[in-house]
Amino acid sequence: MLIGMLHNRKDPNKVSRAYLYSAIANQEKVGFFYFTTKGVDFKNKLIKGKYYEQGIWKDKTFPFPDVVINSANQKTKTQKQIYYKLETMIPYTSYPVGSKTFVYSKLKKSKYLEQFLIPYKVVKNNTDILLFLSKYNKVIVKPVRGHHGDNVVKIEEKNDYFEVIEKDNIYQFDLIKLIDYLDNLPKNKVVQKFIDSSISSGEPFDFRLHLQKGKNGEWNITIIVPRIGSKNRVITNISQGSQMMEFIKFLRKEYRGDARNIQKQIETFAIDFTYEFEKQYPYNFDELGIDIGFDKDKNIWVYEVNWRPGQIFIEVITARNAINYAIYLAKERRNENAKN
Amino acid sequence: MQKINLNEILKALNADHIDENIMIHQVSDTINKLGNHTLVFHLNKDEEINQEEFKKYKSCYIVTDQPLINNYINKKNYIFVDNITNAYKEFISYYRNLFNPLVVAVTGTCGKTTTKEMISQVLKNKYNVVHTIGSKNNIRFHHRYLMKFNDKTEYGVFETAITHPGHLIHNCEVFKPQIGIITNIGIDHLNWCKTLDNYIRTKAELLVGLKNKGHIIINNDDENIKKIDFSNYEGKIITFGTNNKSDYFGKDIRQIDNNVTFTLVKNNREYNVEVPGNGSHNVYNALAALASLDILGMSLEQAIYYLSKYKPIRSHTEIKKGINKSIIIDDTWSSNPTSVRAALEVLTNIGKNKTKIAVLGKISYLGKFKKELYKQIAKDIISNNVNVLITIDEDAKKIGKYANDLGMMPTNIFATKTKKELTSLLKKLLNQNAVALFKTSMLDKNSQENLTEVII
Repeated sequence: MLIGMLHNRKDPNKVSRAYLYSAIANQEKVGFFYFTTKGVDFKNKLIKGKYYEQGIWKDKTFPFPDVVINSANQKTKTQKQIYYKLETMIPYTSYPVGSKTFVYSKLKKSKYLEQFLIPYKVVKNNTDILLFLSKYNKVIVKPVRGHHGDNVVKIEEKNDYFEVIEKDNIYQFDLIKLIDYLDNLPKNKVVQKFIDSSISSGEPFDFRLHLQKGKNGEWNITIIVPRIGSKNRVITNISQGSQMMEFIKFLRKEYRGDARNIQKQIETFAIDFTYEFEKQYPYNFDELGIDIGFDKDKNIWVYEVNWRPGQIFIEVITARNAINYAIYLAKERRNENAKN
Repeated sequence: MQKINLNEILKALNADHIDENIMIHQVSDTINKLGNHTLVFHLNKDEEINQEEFKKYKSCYIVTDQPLINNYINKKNYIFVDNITNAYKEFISYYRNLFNPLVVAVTGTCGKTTTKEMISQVLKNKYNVVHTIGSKNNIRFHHRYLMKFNDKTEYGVFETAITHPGHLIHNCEVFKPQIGIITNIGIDHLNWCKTLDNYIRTKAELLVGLKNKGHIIINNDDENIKKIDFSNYEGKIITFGTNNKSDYFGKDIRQIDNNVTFTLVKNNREYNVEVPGNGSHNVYNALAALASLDILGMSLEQAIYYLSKYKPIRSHTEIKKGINKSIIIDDTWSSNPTSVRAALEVLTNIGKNKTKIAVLGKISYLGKFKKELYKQIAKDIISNNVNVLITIDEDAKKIGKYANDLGMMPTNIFATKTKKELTSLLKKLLNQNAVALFKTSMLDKNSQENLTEVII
């Protein structure tokens, strides 16, 4: 059996996972090579790639592999053409979940998934924001295409004024000034209910749930990481400058006697949610990163679902799962072909 | 009220000046209400002044056109005028002119109370507002409302009751509105107005009440309003509607839980509106309210924000939990054929795939048109596919008869006479697949009490 890892960087030394995959594939006694779209020769069904031996990556021409770990986006048009053509011939491990709005539309399709959605609306005019504020009291307004919490604003209705928190400023407005302020926000924004997911000392936190399929093709939780942000900053994505903690320790510290129950609640959610989420798509995923908030009433809220979640300090386990799943996929395809 | 020097008032009444310097803190329109620093208009001449009580009060003055009797005390505290009714009118006009608030008058067959509430609740977030309380819109309450005006009053919002021609003009003389709203013209109070044309005319009195100036806000989807001749009106005519192109146009109407949502289009700009309430008739109420708030100078965005926090008045198509997991629609505030139709629509919407039960009381003030209008209600019951009709008094029983004439099964029509009868019938009919609409008027005996045993 042969696994190919398709990437867009020429030099596998710059792709830390490549070495891990190769080592684990070696342990599992399956072949492994690294390649880019440039090396693909459709005519002869050959690929010029690199394999790892004695501390260096060596060039070699391989036949088409049984499965491709497609771990990076292709950039140019030519790269993309090759990427998609190859996909019709060899099973790929990863499929995209789509944009944030696309994911949202998928979640909306299932009654079960919908309950975890944070109420949200693409802003057409100020009344969208005002009505959300009226209903939920605390809202977040952010750009449709946001990066790292830039231009994220939190608005809260207090007794007789509105508190507006930006990255570096806090304002107190009356309704007229608030509307003026909203008029001056950049266009293309969304408004959502603010989820009060914060620890006892006030800092916001989220959980990154990292799930992968393993050698039997079933979903497993790779790791759950609580991430604590800093106070007085408006953020919906804590990944930036956050402090990570061990799941169980975090739960014991924050929830004491209730830690076990909450652990069970979140782990059950992670698995149930992932299966139901996958059902909404016509293809299968290998790996998902789900960012969730957990509010004071112990409700789970889904912030984001990523199909290529960043790695968090357990690369070996992640890589082992990835290779095992690739082997599983290759076997599945072989069985299918045998049947036909 | 605003404290005023008595001599200032006397000057306005063309009455004699008094030597003392008296401040009036209260003005009463009945001899039964005396008090300290009070000016009393002796309008109810058939009532006797309670001399014992009168003696107790400090600086209590009585304006009258009646001669005194020898045994009267405090004779120096009587102020004589030629005609007490005219004097009172003078006073009302004088007092109203002391202040300069913007005043909105709301008239129409249905939706007056809701529209008035929407406007006043929104304004009260920021301003000092005097407004009709609940549906207490009768002429006898005018005095009480006007006396609430003072230096700080910024807005007035009044529901104008019309049971007789002439009422509206009178109402406007008291409050002097600059903005008028006609929500719709359906059918009500025809016994006093005799004909529909006459009734339309009483609503159109609003134009006169506005002195043919200011702003008049009208429902552009209403056929009866179109019958009014606006050619003498020199103010601005502002329209609202959801069918015909209007200045304030509502579209994309949806009911989400207990909120009505729609898109308001004004000058090609769109605004989302969400207002607590059941039934699309609330879109008209909200459009009328937003139009007037916009004219009053509040930005639409602000008004929409405050309107989203509107607290509906009770018993206006209010959804309640009923016994045996049923749903009850409480619409027991007031009743007329137009509002029966709106309520039946709500029943149809909420009662999709359920047993729809309509509990109807009599409708007052229909005059000689009653038969015809009851037949219309029977038609509406059939067209809304109401499954069970229950009437709660001898008068409303006729609606059941007409529904039967139109083909409704007699086994599905019930005429009850007592609360006990009604309750035991409902206990059998109500279950998780049933929705019951209670459409009665607070003028009916037991209007509210009929509900007590079927709601949780």
